[in-house]
Amino acid sequence: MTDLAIPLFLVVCGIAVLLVKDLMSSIMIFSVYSLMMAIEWCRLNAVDVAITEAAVGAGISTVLFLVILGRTKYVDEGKKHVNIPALLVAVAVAAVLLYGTMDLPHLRDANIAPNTHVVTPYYLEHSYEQAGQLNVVASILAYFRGYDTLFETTVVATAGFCLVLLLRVRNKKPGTLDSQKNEVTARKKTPASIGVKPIETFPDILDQDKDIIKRTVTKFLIPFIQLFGLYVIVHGELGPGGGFQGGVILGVSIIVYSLVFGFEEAKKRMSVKTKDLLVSSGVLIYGGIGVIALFFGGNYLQYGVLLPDPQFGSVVGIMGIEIGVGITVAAVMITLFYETVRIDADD
Amino acid sequence: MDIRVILTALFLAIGCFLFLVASIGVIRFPDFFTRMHAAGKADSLGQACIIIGLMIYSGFTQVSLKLLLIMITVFIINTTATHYLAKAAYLKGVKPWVKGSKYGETNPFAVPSAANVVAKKAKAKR
Repeated sequence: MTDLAIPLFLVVCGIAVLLVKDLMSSIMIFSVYSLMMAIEWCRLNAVDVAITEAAVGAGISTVLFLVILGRTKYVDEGKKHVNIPALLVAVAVAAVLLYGTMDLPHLRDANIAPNTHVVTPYYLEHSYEQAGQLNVVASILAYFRGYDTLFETTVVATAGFCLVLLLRVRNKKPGTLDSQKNEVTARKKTPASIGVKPIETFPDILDQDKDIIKRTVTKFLIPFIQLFGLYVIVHGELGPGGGFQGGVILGVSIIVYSLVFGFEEAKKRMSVKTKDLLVSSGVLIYGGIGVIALFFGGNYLQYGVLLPDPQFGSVVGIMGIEIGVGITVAAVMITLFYETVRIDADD
Repeated sequence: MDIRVILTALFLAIGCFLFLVASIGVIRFPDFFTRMHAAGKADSLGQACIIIGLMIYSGFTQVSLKLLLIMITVFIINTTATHYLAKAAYLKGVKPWVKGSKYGETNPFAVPSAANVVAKKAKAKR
């Protein structure tokens, strides 16, 4: 039943995103799509992916879309005309993708490639004795395929750098964007133009309780969110989780703080400079642990040599690189948000 | 039958009942605010009842501690979200349903768009 229901719901959501005229509703449906996707991942036993999907797809990307929507129009007023070449390309790509799904294994098929491949028994047998990890996913990511994860982290960091290069330079450049900037500040002054009706009847009552609930709740929740993020990073050894998931959750905590208390307050807690440093320092920690392993007489990223007991050395080394990954991912998530809202704040 | 199973079933039944009532309310109530009122019940008490039932079922273990944490978090976050949804709707000028108006008479989604608000202001100035 759920085998069919959730994918069907996903398809309905995908079509609805395109058809809805109001862009705000469109974003909300997209967020629902991500949440359903997270449930689907959970059902397929990919809990790591589910955590990331829920945090990034439903959380961060929704926030980013909303931030961008705040600067444009709420209603899609573009003329509806059919672009024939684009339609053909889209149909062709969809056909190729659908053709590709025919090669996918069936659900709950025991003879899928990961189960029958020659390296799988090796990973399963040596995960604990070599890498010291009970969670085989973590040992494959960090131990057997350590180089892959190193470069994945580097790719994430590079994406962060590219974002900084693209947006920060653009924001500081005078000329083309100044007009937009003025427009934004002008729009801020007249809330009516973005559809928010200012309340004129009880201004002081509203000012008093304006933020108290959300501020209190956020203050109460953020420590728990961060604790959960750290738990996910550290617990990757035993269960679902790891640097990528925990880093995303840590990044979300700063984004939530920034949303509730404002960008200026958030910059006091996590300044732009610190965040820039963290993006690269995470990769540096990862690569540095590999170099330390070289000094101890092992190969690059061979964590076993770090301590006299190779198994415990692996545990410590993998913990170190998970922390490195977490720092980079969290910092890149904060970068995404900071560089997008930056134009609102006058700098 | 085990007393624990009976208690679990009782709490699950209460929770499901609240969810059912809330779903009916969301469909049947006339405007946004009353619908939020209905949905809030499921978010807070409904999920609390269901998770209490599951906690009783799993007994005094680590799992029930995690369930308790989930319950507290969802309880706080969902009620806050309900509050801010209603507040946002109020600030945006969604018309509340008034007693006497027929069902469906006031369009619950009649949100003044940006253009309408500007036009109204211009009219008021004249």
